[in-house]
Amino acid sequence: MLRSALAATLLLLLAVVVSIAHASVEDTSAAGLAPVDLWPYPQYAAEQGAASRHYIAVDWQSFVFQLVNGTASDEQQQQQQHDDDEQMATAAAMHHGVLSRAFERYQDVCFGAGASGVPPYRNNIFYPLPNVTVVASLSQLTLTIDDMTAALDIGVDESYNITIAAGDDAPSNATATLSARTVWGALRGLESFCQIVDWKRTPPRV
Amino acid sequence: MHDECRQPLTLVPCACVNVCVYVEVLVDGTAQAMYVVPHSQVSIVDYPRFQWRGLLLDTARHFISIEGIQRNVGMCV
Repeated sequence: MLRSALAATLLLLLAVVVSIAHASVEDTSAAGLAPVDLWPYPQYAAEQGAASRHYIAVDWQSFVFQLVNGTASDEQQQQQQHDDDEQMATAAAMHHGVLSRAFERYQDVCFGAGASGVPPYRNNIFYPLPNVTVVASLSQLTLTIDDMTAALDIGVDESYNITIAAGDDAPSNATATLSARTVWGALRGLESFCQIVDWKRTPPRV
Repeated sequence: MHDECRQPLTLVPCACVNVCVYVEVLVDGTAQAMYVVPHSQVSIVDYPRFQWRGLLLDTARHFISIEGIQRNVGMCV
């Protein structure tokens, strides 16, 4: 009795999640926007260039995740502001650790295969690329996090925005920015970013 | 020419594919392997769809090792 009820609940939950995911993809394409290949699908995503094969090359050997407003100096400032509250400084330091471990993890997820000399070959054989135009190159993801002290808890703001854009004059340097309210949003953003980065091989021109 | 040939070869792990790539590269040394963002512009706005999500690990009916539980928790994160 309990067993079947549990199974039914799980199935129902799964069905709801799947149907919601599908609905959002359909919504985006209905609005005339090309869906980005991501899962779970974000609330809003739009891209340009895929149809015309205007791609941004990612310089994986020198690629860095760069936190711009949570640097050591900022941390010291926070420490001064909250010198009556040592817990805040401790939390910020701890979250810096969470973030730097995430950087290492996602460096590996994104480019780890490349670092070991063997990039993933999932798209190498079956989906070769005809006539790709590389419009820019990307070597950094710039992160901005408003609140380094927010603890992971129910209701913590896990929202994030990602913007990737090639400069106007091709070939140029592309910029990629990830802005989040909290460290926890940034983690979600890192996952999405790494799903966008793909491994491709240009075809030989005979 | 020689260096360009060598690079794609070291990147592809499968032996039979190596042969294909090698032939292609012999024909044209400009074939390149690279990481790309397959777009020229991307814009994403995202926030959690639900306030929380749950997963039930039923250890009462089937034994799950600590490693197994940790692996599942890791995957949830």
